[in-house]
Amino acid sequence: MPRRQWRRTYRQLRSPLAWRIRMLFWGGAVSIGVIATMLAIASDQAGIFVRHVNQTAPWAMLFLSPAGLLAIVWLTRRFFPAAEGSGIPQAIAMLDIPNPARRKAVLGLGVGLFKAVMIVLGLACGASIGREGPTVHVAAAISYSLSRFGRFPGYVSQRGLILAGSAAGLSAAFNTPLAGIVFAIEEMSRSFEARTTGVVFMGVIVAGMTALVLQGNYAYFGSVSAHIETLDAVKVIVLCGIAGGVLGGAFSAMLVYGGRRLGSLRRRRPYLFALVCGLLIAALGLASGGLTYGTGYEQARQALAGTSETGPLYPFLKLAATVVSYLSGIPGGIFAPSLSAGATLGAELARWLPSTPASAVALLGMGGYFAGVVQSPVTTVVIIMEMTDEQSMLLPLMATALLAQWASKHICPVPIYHALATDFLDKERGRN
Amino acid sequence: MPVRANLIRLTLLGAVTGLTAGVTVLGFRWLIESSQLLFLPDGRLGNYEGLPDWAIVALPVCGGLALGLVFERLPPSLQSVGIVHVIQQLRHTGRPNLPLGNAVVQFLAGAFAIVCGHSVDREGPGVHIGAATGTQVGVKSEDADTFTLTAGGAAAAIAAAFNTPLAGVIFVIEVLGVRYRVDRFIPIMTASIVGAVISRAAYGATPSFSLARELSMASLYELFFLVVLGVVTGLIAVAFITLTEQANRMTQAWRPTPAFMLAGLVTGLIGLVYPQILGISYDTLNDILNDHLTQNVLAGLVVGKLIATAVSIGLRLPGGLIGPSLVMGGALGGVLGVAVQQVSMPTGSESFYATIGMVAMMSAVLRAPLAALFALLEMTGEPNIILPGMTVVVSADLIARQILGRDSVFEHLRLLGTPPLAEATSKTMDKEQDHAS
Repeated sequence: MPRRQWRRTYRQLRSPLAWRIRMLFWGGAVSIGVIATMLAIASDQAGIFVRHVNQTAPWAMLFLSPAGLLAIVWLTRRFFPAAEGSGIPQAIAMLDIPNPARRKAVLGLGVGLFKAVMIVLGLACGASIGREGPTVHVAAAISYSLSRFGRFPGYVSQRGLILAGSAAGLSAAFNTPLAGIVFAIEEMSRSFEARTTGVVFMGVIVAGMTALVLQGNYAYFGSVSAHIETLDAVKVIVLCGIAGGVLGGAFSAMLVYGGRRLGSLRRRRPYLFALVCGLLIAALGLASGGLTYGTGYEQARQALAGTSETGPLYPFLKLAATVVSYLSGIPGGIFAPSLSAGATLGAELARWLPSTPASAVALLGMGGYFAGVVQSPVTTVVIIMEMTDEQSMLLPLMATALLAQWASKHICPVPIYHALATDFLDKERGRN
Repeated sequence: MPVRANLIRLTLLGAVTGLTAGVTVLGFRWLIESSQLLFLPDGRLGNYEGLPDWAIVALPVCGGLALGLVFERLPPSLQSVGIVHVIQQLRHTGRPNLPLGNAVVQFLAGAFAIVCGHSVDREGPGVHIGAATGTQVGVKSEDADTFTLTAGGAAAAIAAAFNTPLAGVIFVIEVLGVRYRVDRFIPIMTASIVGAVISRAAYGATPSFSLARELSMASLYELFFLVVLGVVTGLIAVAFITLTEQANRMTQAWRPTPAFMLAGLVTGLIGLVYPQILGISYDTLNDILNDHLTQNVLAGLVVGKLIATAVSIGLRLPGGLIGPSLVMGGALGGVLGVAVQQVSMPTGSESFYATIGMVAMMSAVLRAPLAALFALLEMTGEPNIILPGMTVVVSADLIARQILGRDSVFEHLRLLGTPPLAEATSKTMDKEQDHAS
């Protein structure tokens, strides 16, 4: 073994500067884990609040949603305009913009923390949004801001820090460590960079362990036991892949092209627009009996357990509510609502296939729809495997995801987060 | 549109690649297993433990002699086999060229070496054979498409070996160095899925070895043990790579016959003490993962397997080193797992440590942390093993990287080159330099 390497190792282990940087990075990752956990708890509370309001006075949502959305949009535009939307497009956009001033404007600590508060408010107003995009935004902001407190060695670029933060945020949000890493590689950077994977791994481990300490071991959707016969599988794969891919692609297209079409209207009348969106959200909620509010976690879990009671319209209502919530301009992600819409879509498809276990079809429906939305097959498979603690469905799930991604491409040619990232950059340019 | 039509065509060809690669790799496995059944006692696969002492030494030595005599009569270009060969062909620009002849040599010689008890695996040959079938399927396609199908064949081989379709895909990225692009990977993933389906149809959900249930951390203090396991794994991986490299370097000028015979002799002599190391040792790995072995045997297995495999691979036997690294890592994890049980606090089971050690060693030797973690997720189906697994895999990888740099063991072997291949290698290098300049 070369002596040189030992000496280098020895030096790195003794250098106080190296330890300071290491501690700084680990500290950042720990705080990502803490914030992700706090966000998870706060979102649950917001969900309980909405359910309570919906049970006692369903019509109150007609007031609460518009008023709440109005307030959130006003606050966002007034203080941190970069905080609107999912957060993942922002992080992607900032990967390729080495301009420090703009990076700071989008990935400042203030933006991140503000967004974390706003997402909880949004959930409390019944918007159909998820917390993972905002968690990614906060996490990327924390991780990026670290570079202002210490000089990182050359191989840890700011780009690497943004990627590491995003991966850590997603991992800690759902207790899905591997999905965080794959997401950073497949969806965000769209390439495999050996240089940055070390930092990404480290961030995910520390943030994930922190969340584990705070929350304990769990699988997001609990243990799902789904089994499928080989002959059935082909039928279900094709059905879920095509239906999920088409609907997921339609969702992406509505979000991207709808956003572009309505862009000028929203710029001229942002508050009126938010009011109308709020009313629509409340109307959709009333039409579905209060099911479309919030992340949709409960509906997805029931669908995966094979006991879905949402009715055949729910997936479409959920899809519409998510599109409206996103277009309104409030901070909020699309992961969890998409998983919910997909799982219930599968559960409804299962009614047409009486011989196949409903939970298996729900799982594949979730995979198909989600792959259709994000168009990243590997991320889809890994995130669902880590969320459901289920191994035997791997092969059908992969096939469904591939098929859905292919189908979705015909409807929405550019992957949603990249299209949104481009739009975000355009908007930024317009604002400056 | 033509682009989309091409994608559909390529995806179908990917499925065909997965089918042919899967069937060929299963044929390779069947050849090994049916030959083993002919002479091994009790009709148990991999039961080299039951052979008498003289046979344990004589079998690999005579096998090496026969293999060497055949290899000396082969033209040099046909002697290039294994994952190194695949990497060589995928790295240079232009059309990947995996000749059918080399694949046939790999098929027969690989099976012969394993049956004779040499400490190598069937996955390395499998990757070569799978990739070669991919090239054959894409023989009429454009260069870029042939490249994709070749990679797909390699992915299908890994997927078929362990029933891990995702890990197969990631293996192609991390170890073979294929750039990730979503459209290119649709055919590769299809091939991988089909490969796994075929293997599952033939051998069930656990084609090579089965894991224990209930694999999870019992308390967070175990993080300390996990880091220790990672560091030791990293150091052992470094020792393994260095020894392999040294063995290769010292015997550059040797002819195949003495080289193969020496490798057989080393394996046989170690086999006198630890007969489990002969052959693929997946039966032993099965015992390790379900904690049926004592600490002393486990420790002996780590050292024995390390030396035997490093010498075998260093002396250019036509086999692979993925399986041996799994066995070494599993045994090492088992040693620590048994030791941890003495500590007076709730800890994970021995199988938990063995399982993680197994993939961590593979990760450190192949320098493929993501593929290792995907394999872990796919084989256990237990999401809560990922974080502890990641801790071990990353610390092992950091140690190996700190000492040896970023290159995998294949890269080290490829750069050393082997004299009979000088021609092929230099051509590759030239092209690479052209590409770089």
